[in-house]
Amino acid sequence: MERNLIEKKAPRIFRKEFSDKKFNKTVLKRINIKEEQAFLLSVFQKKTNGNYQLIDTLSTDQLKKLKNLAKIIKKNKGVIQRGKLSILLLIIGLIIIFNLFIRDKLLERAMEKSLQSVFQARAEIDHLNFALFRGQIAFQHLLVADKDRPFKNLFELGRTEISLDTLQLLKLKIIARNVECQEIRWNTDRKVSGALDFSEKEATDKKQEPAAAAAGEKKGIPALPLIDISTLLGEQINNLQSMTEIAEVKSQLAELNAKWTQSLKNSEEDLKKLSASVESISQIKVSSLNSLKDIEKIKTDITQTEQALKSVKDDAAAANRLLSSDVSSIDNRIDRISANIDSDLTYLESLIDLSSGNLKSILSSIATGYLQENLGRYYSYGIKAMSYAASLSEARKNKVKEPSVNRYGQDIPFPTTQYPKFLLQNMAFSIGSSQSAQFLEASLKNLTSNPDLINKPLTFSLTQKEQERQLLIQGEIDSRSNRRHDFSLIMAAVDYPLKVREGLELLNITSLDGFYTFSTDFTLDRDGAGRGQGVLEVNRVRLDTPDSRNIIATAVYDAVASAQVITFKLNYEISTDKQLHLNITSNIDNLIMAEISRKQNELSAHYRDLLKAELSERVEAELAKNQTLYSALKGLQHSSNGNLAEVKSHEEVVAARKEEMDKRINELQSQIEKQLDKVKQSLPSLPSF
Amino acid sequence: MFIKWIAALIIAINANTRAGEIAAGAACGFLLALLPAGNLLWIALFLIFFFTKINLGAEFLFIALLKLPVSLLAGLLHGIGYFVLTQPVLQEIFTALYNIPLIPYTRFNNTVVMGGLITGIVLWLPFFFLLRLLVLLYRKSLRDKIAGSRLAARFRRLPLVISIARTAQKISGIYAG
Repeated sequence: MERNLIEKKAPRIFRKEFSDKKFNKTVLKRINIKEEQAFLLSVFQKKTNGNYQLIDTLSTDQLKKLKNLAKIIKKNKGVIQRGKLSILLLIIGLIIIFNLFIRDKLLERAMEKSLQSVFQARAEIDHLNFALFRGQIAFQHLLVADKDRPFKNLFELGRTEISLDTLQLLKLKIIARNVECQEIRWNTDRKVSGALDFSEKEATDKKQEPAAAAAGEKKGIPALPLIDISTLLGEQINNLQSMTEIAEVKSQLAELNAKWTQSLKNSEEDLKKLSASVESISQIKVSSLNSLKDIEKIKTDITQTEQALKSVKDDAAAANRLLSSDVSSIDNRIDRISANIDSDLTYLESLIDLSSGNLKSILSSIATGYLQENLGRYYSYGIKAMSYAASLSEARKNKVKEPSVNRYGQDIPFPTTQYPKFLLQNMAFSIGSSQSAQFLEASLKNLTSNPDLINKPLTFSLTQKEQERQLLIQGEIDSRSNRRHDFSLIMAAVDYPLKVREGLELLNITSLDGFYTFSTDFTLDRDGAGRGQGVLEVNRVRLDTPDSRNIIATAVYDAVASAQVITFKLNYEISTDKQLHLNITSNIDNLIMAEISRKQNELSAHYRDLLKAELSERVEAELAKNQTLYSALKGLQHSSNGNLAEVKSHEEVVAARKEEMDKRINELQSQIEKQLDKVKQSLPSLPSF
Repeated sequence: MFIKWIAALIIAINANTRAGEIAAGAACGFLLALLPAGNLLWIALFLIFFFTKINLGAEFLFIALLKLPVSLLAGLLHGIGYFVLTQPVLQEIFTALYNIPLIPYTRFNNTVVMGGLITGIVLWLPFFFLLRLLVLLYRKSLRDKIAGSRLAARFRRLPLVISIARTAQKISGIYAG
């Protein structure tokens, strides 16, 4: 019993039997103080089998000493401090369990509670994942209710993640691998009430319309002249060949009339005189003439009359020829007047030239001003963005730091991924859902303080969708030493409203509304010069109805109204001294020119008709005045012809009478000869001498 | 603090503390003294030693004692470290090591760190055995003589020694007399 009691009280390590070897190894060798070794030997007895065992009788002091010695023996065993290690492993285990099962939930609850305390409404977070060592916090969904409207959410976030490189953070370098927040939405519906307590005003999202364009470049449009045809004719009357010709013809007709009237009068008088003689000759009964003497006398009269008639005839013929010639020349001049009228018309038409001059690119000119302002604005945005990106860049030290050797040694560098002081690899956010009518998505990649180190340019993109409108911007800003371009941009805007209020006074209209689709790509080189090209399409254009008297404005209106789409193709360059040179061509320019030409042609034709009518009227009036004189001259010519015919008829009469006379004379002569013969026959023959 | 460590070491030497523990503590202190502080390697080694059964007093004392002399050997350590770090056959290993997360914070690529580590590893065992032998010799030959001396008696009566002894007793159950 006493033995049992000792065994119960003695430290467990001493309760068993030890072999000699084991006793030395596990007990004696772990005690260094000789006295204590002696004490142990005193309290252990060696049995007959050579084993050591505790003695049966032990005092309280001995037991106490044994306990202390047991502790020392236990302490002197092993290499690892199990107690401390156990605690460490326990702590590590707890941390692991915490991280695996509790951490995320705890953090989720904590965030929900803090959001609820801030917004005084229910907050919900789904699938939160927090990885401290990876420097990442992410969640799939977060929503915060609106305290004023329990069944609406104040805002909602989709997948959100912030991921930092913690190792680089320890080196005081901020390397953000990913910063994104997708599908940011406001005012969405809730199925369950989320109200807790207070109200908060809902921010209205007033969308800014793209600013209306400023005035187009003011370019002078030549005004089409309003022409008074009567005034024009009055001014040019002296330059008109036809009118001059008419006047000359008139004076000539007057002269000729005067001249030939007198001439014909004289001629008629001569003829009258001869007519009496011819009349008396024609009344001669030749058959009743039996006297040669009478016959000869009459023949002499006839001969004289014949000669007089010949003279008159010659004069009349000459006069007739001359008069005919004069009439003919008048006719020629009258014919020339028609030709002159045509050339005068041509001349007058040249004075009412309505060519539009420099109107070819009228809309392009207006568009130039609008685009210059907008492109200039985007250019300045680009320059600002570049300056912000450049300001992030570390000062590049040209001097390579030589590793110094001192008592702290020298760091031998090994190849490894170098990181800059700051790097944002990806940042993205979106508002709304891609399926919804309104959606905005933006991203920024590789924003860094040392672009050469990562060897990637900064890229950005923006996509906005709003009903039918879409805006897409993609670009990059390159600050690397080996870059080709400083800045490049691709932009497309689809179906944006267009409101132009300035620069249209040239066309006498006050507003131009419509919708445009614009796409462009632009690069800016290292020397500051840039170039780009683009297309601007304008459709569903509405203009003020212009004043119908303004041909240009009307032509523009008609051309624009009839065109489905107005397309501007532009090429622009920015010189190194920051001057923007814009070159625009448009499909509408040809339409406008065609319309203007058509209207000009119509107006020209109208003026020509007016001119022709007025000129004809004036010429006709002048010609009417000449007609009387001409008729008179023609009458004279007719009279001259009549005189000539009369002379001819008188000649015929006289010639006939003369012939008759000659016949009669012959008859009488033959009668006389017969009578003579008879006499001869009846007479004795005379002596011949 | 320094005196505390000395006192703790003296007590340990004269108590039932294993000679190996004292020698290991001293050798680890020697190794840590060879390594420049302020890097992850030093901290890691310290933590490893913290969880092993070595005499912390001996460790701290030897760190303190050897720090100054070791700094005079910076040139030698740099040479050894440079030689090792620039060995072509080891470049791949060192590069792979350097790219493991956290490893660069050990600063193993520093010549003095590497030199100290190599030297410490090489000399650890000889130092351990030497110190262990010295402790055993002391315990065998000198302890009894010193323990009986007046100086030892006075030393044992120092308040600091008493407080350390009591603390040591709680752990090791040494008889403080």
